Amino acid sequence: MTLLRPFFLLIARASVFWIGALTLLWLSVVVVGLAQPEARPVAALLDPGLIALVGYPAAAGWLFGGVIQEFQHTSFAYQLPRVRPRLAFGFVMAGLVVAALTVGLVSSVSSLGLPLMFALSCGAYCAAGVLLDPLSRWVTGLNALVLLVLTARSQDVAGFAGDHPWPAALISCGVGTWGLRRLFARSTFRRKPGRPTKPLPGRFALERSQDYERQKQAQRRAQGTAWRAGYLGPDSWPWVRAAIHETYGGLGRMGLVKAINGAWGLLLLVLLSAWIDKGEFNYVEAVGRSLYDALFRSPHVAPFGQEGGPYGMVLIVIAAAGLAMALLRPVALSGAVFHPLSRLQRARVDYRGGLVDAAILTVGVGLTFFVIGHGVGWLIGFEPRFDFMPYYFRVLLVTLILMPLGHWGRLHLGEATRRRTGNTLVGLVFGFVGFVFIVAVCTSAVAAIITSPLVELIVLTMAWAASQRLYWTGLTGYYQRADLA
Amino acid sequence: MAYAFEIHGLTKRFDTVTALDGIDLRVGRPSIVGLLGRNGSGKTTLIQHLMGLQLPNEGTVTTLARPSHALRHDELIHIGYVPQEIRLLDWMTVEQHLRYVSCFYPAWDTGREQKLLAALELDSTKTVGTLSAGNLQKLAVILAVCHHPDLLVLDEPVSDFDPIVRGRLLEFLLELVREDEATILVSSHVLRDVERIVDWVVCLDKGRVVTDASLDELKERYSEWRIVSTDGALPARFSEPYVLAQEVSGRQARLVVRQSAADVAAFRAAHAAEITVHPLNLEEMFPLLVREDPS
Repeated sequence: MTLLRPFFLLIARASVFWIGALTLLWLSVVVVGLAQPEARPVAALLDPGLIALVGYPAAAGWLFGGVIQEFQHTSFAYQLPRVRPRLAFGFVMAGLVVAALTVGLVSSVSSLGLPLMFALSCGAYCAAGVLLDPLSRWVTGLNALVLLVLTARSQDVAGFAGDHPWPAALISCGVGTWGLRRLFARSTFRRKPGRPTKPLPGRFALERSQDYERQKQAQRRAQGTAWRAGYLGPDSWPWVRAAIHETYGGLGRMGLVKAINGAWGLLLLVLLSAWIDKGEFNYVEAVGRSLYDALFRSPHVAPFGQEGGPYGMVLIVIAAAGLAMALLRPVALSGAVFHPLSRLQRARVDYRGGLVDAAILTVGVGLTFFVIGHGVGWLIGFEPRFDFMPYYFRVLLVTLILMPLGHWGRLHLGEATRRRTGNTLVGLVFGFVGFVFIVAVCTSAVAAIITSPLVELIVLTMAWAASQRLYWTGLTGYYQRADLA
Repeated sequence: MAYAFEIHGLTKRFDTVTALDGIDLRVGRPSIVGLLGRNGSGKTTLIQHLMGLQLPNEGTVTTLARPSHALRHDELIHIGYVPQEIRLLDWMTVEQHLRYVSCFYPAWDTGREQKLLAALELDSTKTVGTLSAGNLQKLAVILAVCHHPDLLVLDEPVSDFDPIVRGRLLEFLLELVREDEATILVSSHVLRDVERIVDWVVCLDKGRVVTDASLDELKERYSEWRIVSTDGALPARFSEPYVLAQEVSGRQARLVVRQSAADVAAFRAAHAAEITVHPLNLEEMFPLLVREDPS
């Protein structure tokens, strides 16, 4: 028990539980969805049994590995007595249990032998310990690629494993040993990573992530756009401009390119999806079709909506984007600078910043769904469709109406939101789930109750005005009564 | 007389903790006031009340003749503030940051900015995120003074400066008072520096003002007596009420006293001893101000 205690003390926290539970839920939905007979054509290439066999242990390895990575690079970890073998022992023991449970779960639907299944599970668990490797982007990239190929071609992989059990087991053990060795090597504990560990920016990561931020800044030249304006004066709008500069100025002119660069995983998914399911299209058309599907007709989310009708994923994306804008990166004056503004002026700038957020969200949704969506639809010769637009507008308007909730949450969570640590992370996850749920309920209620589009537009506009009024009243009250430091 | 700030009966509680407990304070202008106190004594909380960033549970705070929580842009542009925890916009260069903040104020003095950049040896081409703690403090100070503030509030402004830069900054602060007739409130634990510039000392302890006096008055009030007996051994312990601390060794003794001229004469008469009076510096005086045993 003494050997197991360090590992279990590390993972015994709320964020591990909730992230683990959500991952488990998500993975189960995917596996069950893929196992349905009417699943999309690509299911022919996918083997839900193998995905479950590898996916569950990999998810556990990724989560536990993340906890260890977060801890192992702190300034005090390396000096602790026998820290590596103790953590490794706990990690391996937990892996054996997870692998055994997974094999027990999958054995009835898989034709592979039990020892081979156990070897594959253990290999996936250990390798996933360094799935997101803070020491090397290459290792992370390679891992993600292997995982994608393994998933996308799981039928072939399962076939290979069934035909050649010994080589498959050996490869799995080899990969697992490599992952285990990389996670617990002496040199790994000694090295200082270039970026923070994910997915758990917890209490240990805080020390490192602050270090990381400073190092990152130290290594790069200033890339933000220069500010060119005269004296701002007492009126609030120039200060809103200043708030936009403080919020987005740091991204610089290449901000959009950097954002796309950061979403390379999504692009890879689109390319891979096109590769898997080209149908009668050439590759470029297949890429366009994949984008179109993702935006307008995603069969992946069929359980949330109906084929050809309003899609749940659209609602989730719009609502989550709205909350993220309000909660995580709102247009607001930074607390890092002393602004010579009265409390009322601060309230005004915050309020108007919220309006800018709403405008950015509206433009962003329009660009993404209508311009890109119809662009790629046109590329592959689809007829332009506008029948779903009222649904998209409804979701957008409901999100805009509820966005002040996010702004309000940011004001009250303040510093905690900025750091996104520990329990705050759990709060954020619940906040997002709750917000999406509220948007979904309101959208459905509006669609069910109001049948006339004109009346709906009037009602939603009035509701937006009322929510803005409420927000303004709350905001001025907050700035009159709250301590701002 | 116009006061830079006036505080009456200020009490601030955080849940069960009373951070400030019935503070009464008035500071005229121009002047340089040192705000002293041990860690957690309430200095930063007091400063944040002056800036209108915190609201009192009881009492009133008036800054530049206006309730601090209702300070408007027109008044705030006459205040300079260096907070204890400096977090500037990391992605800007020093030059970009200066240009950005200069737009907040109608009377930004580029000449003063350049002079300070040179005096404090701060490279304006560097990114703020790459600055050391000391350089970050230098930038924060420059940002706080180039608009000719009437009131400058500095919360631990020199803790990360090297001695040479500290000296230059202190000279500049004195110049600021001369040029702008500004009032400066400086909170610092580097008491030797504080002593070089302040003319008034306010000391907090456990949320209360325990000292509110001019530096000259404090220097007159507290001193160290070095005593050599002219007639045999000294008593093992002196019981005079003005003796705050003592160290007796045979015919010699070292006493820390709260003195008056009459006390010196009375002591000489009572103990037949030679007394040499040494003034205390602020660092030596500090334990007395916060009512701690100086020994």
